[in-house]
Amino acid sequence: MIRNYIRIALRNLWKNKFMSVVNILGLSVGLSAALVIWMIVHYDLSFDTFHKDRDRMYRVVSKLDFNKMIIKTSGVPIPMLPELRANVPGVEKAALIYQYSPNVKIKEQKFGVQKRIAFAEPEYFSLIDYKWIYGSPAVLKNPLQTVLTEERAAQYFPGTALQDVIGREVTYDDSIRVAVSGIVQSLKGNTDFTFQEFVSMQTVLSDQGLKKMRGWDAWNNFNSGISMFVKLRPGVEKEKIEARIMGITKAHDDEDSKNQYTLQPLREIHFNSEIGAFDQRQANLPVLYKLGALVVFLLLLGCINFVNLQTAQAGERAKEIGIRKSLGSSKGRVILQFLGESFVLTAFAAALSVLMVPGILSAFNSFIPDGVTMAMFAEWQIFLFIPILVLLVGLMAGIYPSFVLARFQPVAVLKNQVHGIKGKARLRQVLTISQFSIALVLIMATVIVGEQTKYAYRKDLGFDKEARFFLKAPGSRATTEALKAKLDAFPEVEMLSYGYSAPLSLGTSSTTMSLGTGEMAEKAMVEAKYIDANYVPFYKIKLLAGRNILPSDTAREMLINESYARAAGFAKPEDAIGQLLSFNDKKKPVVGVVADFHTKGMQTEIMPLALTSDWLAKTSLHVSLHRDADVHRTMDKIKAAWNEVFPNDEFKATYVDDALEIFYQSEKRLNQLLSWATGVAIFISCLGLLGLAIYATRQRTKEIGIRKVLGASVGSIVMLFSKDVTKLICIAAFIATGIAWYAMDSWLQNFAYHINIPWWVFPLAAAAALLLGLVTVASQAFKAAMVNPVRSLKSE
Amino acid sequence: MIQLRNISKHYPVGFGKHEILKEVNLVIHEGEFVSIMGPSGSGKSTLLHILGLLEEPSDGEYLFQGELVHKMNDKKRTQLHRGAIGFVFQAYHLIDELTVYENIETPLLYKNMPSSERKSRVADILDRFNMVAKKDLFPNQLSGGQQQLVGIARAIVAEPTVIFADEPTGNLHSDQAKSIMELFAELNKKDGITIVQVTHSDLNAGYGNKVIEIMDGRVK
Repeated sequence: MIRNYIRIALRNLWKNKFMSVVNILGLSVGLSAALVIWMIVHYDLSFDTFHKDRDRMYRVVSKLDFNKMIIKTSGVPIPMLPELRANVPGVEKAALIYQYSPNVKIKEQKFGVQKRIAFAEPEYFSLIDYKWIYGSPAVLKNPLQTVLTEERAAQYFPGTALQDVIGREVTYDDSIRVAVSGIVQSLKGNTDFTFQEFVSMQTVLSDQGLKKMRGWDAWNNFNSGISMFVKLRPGVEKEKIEARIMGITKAHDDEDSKNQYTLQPLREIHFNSEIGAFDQRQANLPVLYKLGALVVFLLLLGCINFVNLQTAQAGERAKEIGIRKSLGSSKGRVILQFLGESFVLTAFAAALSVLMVPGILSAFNSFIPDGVTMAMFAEWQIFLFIPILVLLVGLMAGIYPSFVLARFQPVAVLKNQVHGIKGKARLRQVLTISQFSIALVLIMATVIVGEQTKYAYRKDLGFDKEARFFLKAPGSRATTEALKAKLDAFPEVEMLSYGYSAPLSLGTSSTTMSLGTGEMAEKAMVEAKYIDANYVPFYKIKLLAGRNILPSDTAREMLINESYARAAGFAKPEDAIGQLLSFNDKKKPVVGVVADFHTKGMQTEIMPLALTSDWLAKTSLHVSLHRDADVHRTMDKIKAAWNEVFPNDEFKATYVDDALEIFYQSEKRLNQLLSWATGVAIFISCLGLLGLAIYATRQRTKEIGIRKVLGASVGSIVMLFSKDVTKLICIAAFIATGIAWYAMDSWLQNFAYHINIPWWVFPLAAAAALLLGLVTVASQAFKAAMVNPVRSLKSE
Repeated sequence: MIQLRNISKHYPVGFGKHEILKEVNLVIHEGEFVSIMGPSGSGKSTLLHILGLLEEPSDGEYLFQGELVHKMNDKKRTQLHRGAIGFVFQAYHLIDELTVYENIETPLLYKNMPSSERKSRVADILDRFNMVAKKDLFPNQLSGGQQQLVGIARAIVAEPTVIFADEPTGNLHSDQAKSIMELFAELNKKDGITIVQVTHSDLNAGYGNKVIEIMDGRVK
């Protein structure tokens, strides 16, 4: 029986080739998107699933409460570790990892800053199981020992046999000389534990100077490079241990400390982006949710096409159903048969969608983790997902048409009383309206996101960002000054300035200050920028009142921005001049008020800000060139000067323009995603419309013939068919306008500075959709209207 | 085997109703070859559809093999369509997407017959109707007479006790009509299948052994 159904299904697909193509294309887009999402989800879920007893393993994390600012971090005080081992009986094992990124040198060969290095103890290896090729965890009991993975060993000692690597010396930061005493294999499988090099913790612990300098003995060191792991004894509740940890830290934290310590299950590490996972890429849940919603929409569009076309051709299938019923087919069997057709069709679409996956992976590589590749199809979880998807989507698409078709009464069919299903025309209209609503919402959203992004890029930031770059100096103040002296001599250089960061930068320095009256009078968090006297003129920041700071290497005078002056209760900027601002327990005079400028992207409101001179400013040198300078040649000269001062460090100029980019990455991605989805949605909807138009003209061939015999022009017939689709798209435009307005208005609230939704977006999108819809339908109507009426009337 | 008591059929039209059949009483015995005759619009086809359980009467009682039809549920009716009843239509009503072989096989599929038995049954019928060579053709590759032959083959393959035929030769020319009617007569005599046909033609009615004349919805 099933073979029989499949055979009929295939023959029907072949008979209605065009409709099959429409359906398969429409469904395959959604299916391929679903496949990719599943691959990402599966990839992310597969992280660190192989650790023994992982259900009992946790990472201790802190929630630090700095009055109005909460920071979650994996950093916990290192002295907690011995306490956990000695005084918490529920803890079976405890170990920590401290990430370390030193400059690495081997003999005279410099490897530069290396990542994926960590301080570790032997206990770490009893929690996370590594395969040891040489040595054993015990080697890390002693100071000045290091363990490499095979890959790291090959990187540091190329061409050397692994056993010969043992005993070789590696120098960190020019001062710590360690011996390689073990080689391990990297963990197999997807994992965030990708450390390549383990330095014995005793290296620091046994050296009182190092220990103190690195804060390893401090109860207030919450360095996010620290990750402390515990393995609980079987049956021990994590809440009990958390309470014990709170008890231990109470003795050492400040009295009014509101800091909290909790246990983060191992499986959550990959998913909690607030805390991070050893600086590795984590699962991006918001993006996954967004993509998931998109997949549902795309699948819905494809299914709507299927429902529309199946019910539209119901009249043609009715005869078969009537005969089958008179031969003894039950309703259930008819349903099964039509479901079979939708499954076969969906299976074709699924096959096609697999072919589309590589294209999607490369087009969206900014969303998709590198580990997600076509190779994943070899895994059964991915492979088996395809038939499950076919079953689900086939059911979703097929269930309604199957029930409608199965409801036909055989006698009505055999008496030729069925001419399509009249009542179902309304349903098709509703579905077409929904389809176009989705497409229209997407068009509108794309335009509005584009407009807002354009606005964000073009808005006056309050400072001049054009043709300015900065160099982050790695050395001491003296070397930075040496670099400045060299650049000062170049005629092409217009101006130079020291500044800890550009006016707009991702990082923020904040500190508590008090000034004026109101909420700012008490200690409040204020953003601080460390600059020199050139900074304000360099970036053409406007001075509203008072004067610029005088050259100095320490904080002697303060500039504040307008927002700070207002928040501190000064009605006019002038009123703030001469007031004392207390900061680091010292009082400094405010000498000037500058106009507000953006220190972050448009998402963030301009907050109170203070600028002051400080030696910290000398970590970056900001450079602007004369307009007529030959940029290429000048950059080469500057690079040469850099290499003289910093022979060991790579030259890197960061343009202030580019800093803006970082703030709008997610908007740009959203825009890319939306544009793609819009294109696909319009494509699927128009395909469906084309299918419906073909059926409509086929059904009304006779009517067209009669009208033409009666003297109708081709134009009037095309009009006749276009009227319906115009009505549908107009209704869709109204619905979409409402939805898009609401959705985009709430999206724009993410921005402290945003556009008003431009009204023209809505009629423009509607007009575009209408044009596409009309072209689709009118082309079919035109074809039908051009046929000689004698032929169309004969065909009856 | 078939008994109709005061069967009526009407459709609502506006505020009144359009009566098609009025208080029809008739009895058809097993093994009979009955022809229902009458002018166009007299209600012949509706009567046949009621007899074939494709339509329900508005009033009256219908006993099929001694059982009250209006008390049967859908499942029971489907069972009868699978086993006891066969249909032959004027327009043949073969399934266009299936080959001759598959069309004949379809009723057996609905009976859940095992594949080997199905094969031998269809093969027997094809043999008997001299259509073995045409078994892989599709309906639109056959002449009208051949299509109707397939229609009859399909009707009898499940070995029904009664065949309802709605103007089975209506679309055929006289030679083909003659051979089809001879086939019905043979099925009636040799296989003992009860046959009820609707026809316009006295010639066709001549093959049967009982004529029911119907006029304006009443049996004369």
